[in-house]
Amino acid sequence: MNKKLKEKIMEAFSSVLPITLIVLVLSITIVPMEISTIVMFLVGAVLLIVGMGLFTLGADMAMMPMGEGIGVQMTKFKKLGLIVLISFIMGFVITIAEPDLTVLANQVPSIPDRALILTVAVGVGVFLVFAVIRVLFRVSLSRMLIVFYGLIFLVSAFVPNAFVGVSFDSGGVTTGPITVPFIMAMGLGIASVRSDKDAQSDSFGFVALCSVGPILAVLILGICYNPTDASYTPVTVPEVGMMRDVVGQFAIQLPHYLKEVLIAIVPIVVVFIIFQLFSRRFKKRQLARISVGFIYTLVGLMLFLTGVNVGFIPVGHIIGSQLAASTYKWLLIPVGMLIGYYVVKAEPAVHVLNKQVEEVSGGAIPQSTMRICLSIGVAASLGMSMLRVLTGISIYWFLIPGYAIALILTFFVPKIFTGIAFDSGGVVTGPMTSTFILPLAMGACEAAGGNVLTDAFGAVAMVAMTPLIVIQILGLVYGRRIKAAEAADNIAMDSEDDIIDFDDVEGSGELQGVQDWEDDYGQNKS
Amino acid sequence: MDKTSPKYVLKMLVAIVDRAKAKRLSEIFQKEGTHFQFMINGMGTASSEILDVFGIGRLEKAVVICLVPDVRLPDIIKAIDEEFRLDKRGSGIAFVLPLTGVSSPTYQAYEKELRHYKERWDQLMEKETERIQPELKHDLIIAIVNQGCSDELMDAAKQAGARGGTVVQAHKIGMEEAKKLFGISVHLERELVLIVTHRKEKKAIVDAIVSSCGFKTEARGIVFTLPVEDVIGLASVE
Repeated sequence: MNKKLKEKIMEAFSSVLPITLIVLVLSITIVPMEISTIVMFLVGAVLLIVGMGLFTLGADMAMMPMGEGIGVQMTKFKKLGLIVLISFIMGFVITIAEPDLTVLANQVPSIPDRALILTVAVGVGVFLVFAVIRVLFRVSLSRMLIVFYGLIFLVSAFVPNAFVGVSFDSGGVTTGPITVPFIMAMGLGIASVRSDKDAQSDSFGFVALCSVGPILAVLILGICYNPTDASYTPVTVPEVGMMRDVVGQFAIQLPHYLKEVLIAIVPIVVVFIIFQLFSRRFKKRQLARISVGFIYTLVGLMLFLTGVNVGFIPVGHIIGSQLAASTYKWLLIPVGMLIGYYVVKAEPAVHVLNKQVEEVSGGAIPQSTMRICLSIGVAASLGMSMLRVLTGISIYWFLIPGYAIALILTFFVPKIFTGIAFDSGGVVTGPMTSTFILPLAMGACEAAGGNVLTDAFGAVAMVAMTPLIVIQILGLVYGRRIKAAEAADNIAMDSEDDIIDFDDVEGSGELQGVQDWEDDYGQNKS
Repeated sequence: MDKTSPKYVLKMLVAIVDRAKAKRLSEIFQKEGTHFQFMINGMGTASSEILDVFGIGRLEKAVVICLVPDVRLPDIIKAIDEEFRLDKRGSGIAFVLPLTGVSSPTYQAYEKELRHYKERWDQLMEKETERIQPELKHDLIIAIVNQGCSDELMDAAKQAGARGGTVVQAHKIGMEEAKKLFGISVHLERELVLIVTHRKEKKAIVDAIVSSCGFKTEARGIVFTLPVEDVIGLASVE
C-alpha cells in the first residue's frame, strides 16, 4: 500500500480509537447508555477517523504551504505600513468567518451579535499585527505575554463574573482548526526569513497572541455593555429509534457543517488567490496540490464536525450527568482525567502543531513527546474542572495561579518552549473540547446542581491553561538535558581543534593527539 | 614514517530514510559505535505526478549524516541494509563520501575504536591495496534552485534517468543578496536537491537539470557533483 496513505490512516485511527474505546467501556460498565446513542457515537467515530485523516492531509498540502508562503512573501514588501495593513486584514477576515464565533455570540444575548463578532475580529487583527511586528523587531514573547495577560486580569476585575468565562472561551474559540494551521504556518514563514539564532523560536507564538486578542476585546466589550447575563444552549439528545433515524441525523447535519466550513475557508481561499496573482509564488503542480488540499480540508473538517457534533455531544453529556447523579460522584474526577488524556489526541489542530514543532526543532522535540505532554495537561485540567463542578470553587483559584506559574516559567525555559506552550493553549481548545469536554462538564454541572455558566464553561479556559505549564515544564527538563549533553560533549573534546588532513600523511604525524597511534601502527605496517 | 603508512580514514556516511524511521537508523548508528550524527529534514520527491497532486506521492525524509571509520563501513552498511531493505524502491538510500580531513577532537572520539579494529584494518590493507584509491562509480548531484522549482527539476532529472531525489529547504545567504528588512537580514529561500546516480548517467541528468532549471532559467539553478564511494539503495541501477 502507498506509504503515505498508510501513515495517515494509522495516525487517524490512533487518535480517535482510544477515546472511542473508553466511551464503549464506560457504556457497558458505569454509564449505561441507550443502544441508539451508542450507534450514533460509533457512526460519529467513523466520520471522525475519516475526517481527521483527510483534514491533516489537507492541512499539510494546502494550509501550511499557503500560510508559510504568505508569511515569507509578506516580508518582501519591505514597507512596514503595508505589512501591518495586510496582517490586520488577514486576522480580521479569517476570524469573522470562524463559525464557532457565531455560536459564542449567541451565548451572550445582552451584546448584539454583530458588535461582538466585529470586536473579536478586530482583536485578532490587531494582535496578528503585534505578532508580526514582534517577529520583525525581535520583541521578547514572554514580555508581551506578561503585559497582555496582566492587562487581561486587570480588566477582568471590572467585568461581571459570568462574563469572564465567556471571554476566556472566545480566546480558544477563535483559534479553530482552520485558522490554527494557517496562522502557525504564517509565523513560520515570517520567522524563516530571519537569520539570527532566535528565528526558530520566534516561529511560534502567533496563535498565542491571536488568542489574547479576543479575550481582551470581549472583556472590554463587557465593560462597555455591562451585561448581567450570558446564556448557553442546553444540550439536547435527539431521539432516535431506528437505524434509519441515525443515518437521518447525520444526513441532516452534514450540509449544515459543510456550509460552516465553507464560510470559514472561503476567505482564506480568496486571500490566497489574490496573493498568488501578485506573487506568483506557486507553480502549476503546487497549485494543483493546494487545490486538492483545500478539498481534503473542506471534506475532512465537514465529516469531523458532523461526527463530533452529532455523535459525541450526547455521549459527553450523558457521561457527565450520569456520573454526577450517581452515588460515586467522585468518579467524575478520574474518569474526566482519563477522557482528557485521550480526547486531546483526537483534536485535529493538535496534529498540525505537533508536526510543526517536530519540523522546526529538527526532530529534537518529537511529536510523541508533545502528545504525551498535552495529554497530561488536558487530563490535569479536566481533573480540576470536575473538582470545580463538584465543589463550586471559583475559577479564579485556578486561573490566576495557573497563569502566574505559566508566566513566571517563561523566564526559565528555552524561548522556543514559551512560544510552543502558549500556542498549544489555543490549539488544544478545538472542536473536541467544545463538543465533548464542554457537554461533559455541563452534564455533570446540571446533575450536580451547580451553576453551568460559571462552573462548566470554565472547563474550556482550564483546558487552554494547563498546556502552558506542562509544555514549559517539558522545556525546563529539555533545557537541562541540553546543557548536560553539551557538558558531556565538552569533556570528550578537550584537545585542540586542529585539522587532520587525510592526504597529508607526514603532516598528520605531528598533530596533537594523533602522534602515538600513527607511530604505533604505522611502524607495524611498514 | 614513510608515505605508504596506512591511514585510519574517516568517511562521511549519508543515509536518507523515511523520517518516521530516523530514530531506528540513529539507534543502529549508535549501536555500531559511530559518533557525530546529524539530522537534516528533507522531503522525498514524488513517485508520480498524480499521486503527488492527491497528496500521497511523497514522504518526509530524514537525511542523517555521520562520520564512520573506513574499517567499520562494511558492518554499518550491512546493518542498515538489513534493517531498511534499501534495495526496495523508495525505501531510502545510503552513500559514502570521502573526506580529506577532519578536526582532531573529532578524530579522537574514534581513536579507541580504531585501535580496537587495528588487526582487521591490517588484514584489509594486505588484501586490497587498491582500497586506498577505490574506483568511484557513483556521483552525488547537488542542485540548488529557487523555492518551488524542485518539482520541475526532478521531472527533468527523472526523464534523464534519475531514480529519485531528496529536497532540503535551504536559504541563500551572502552580503549582496541579503536584503535588510528593519535591521534583520532576509534570507532568500532555495531548495537543495540531492540525487545519487550512477556515474555513466550523471552527464545526462546534469544536462537535463541545467537545461530545465539552469542559472539562466527562472529556477536560477546551480548544479555540482561530488564523488560517491559506495552506495546502497540504488540497486535497480546495476
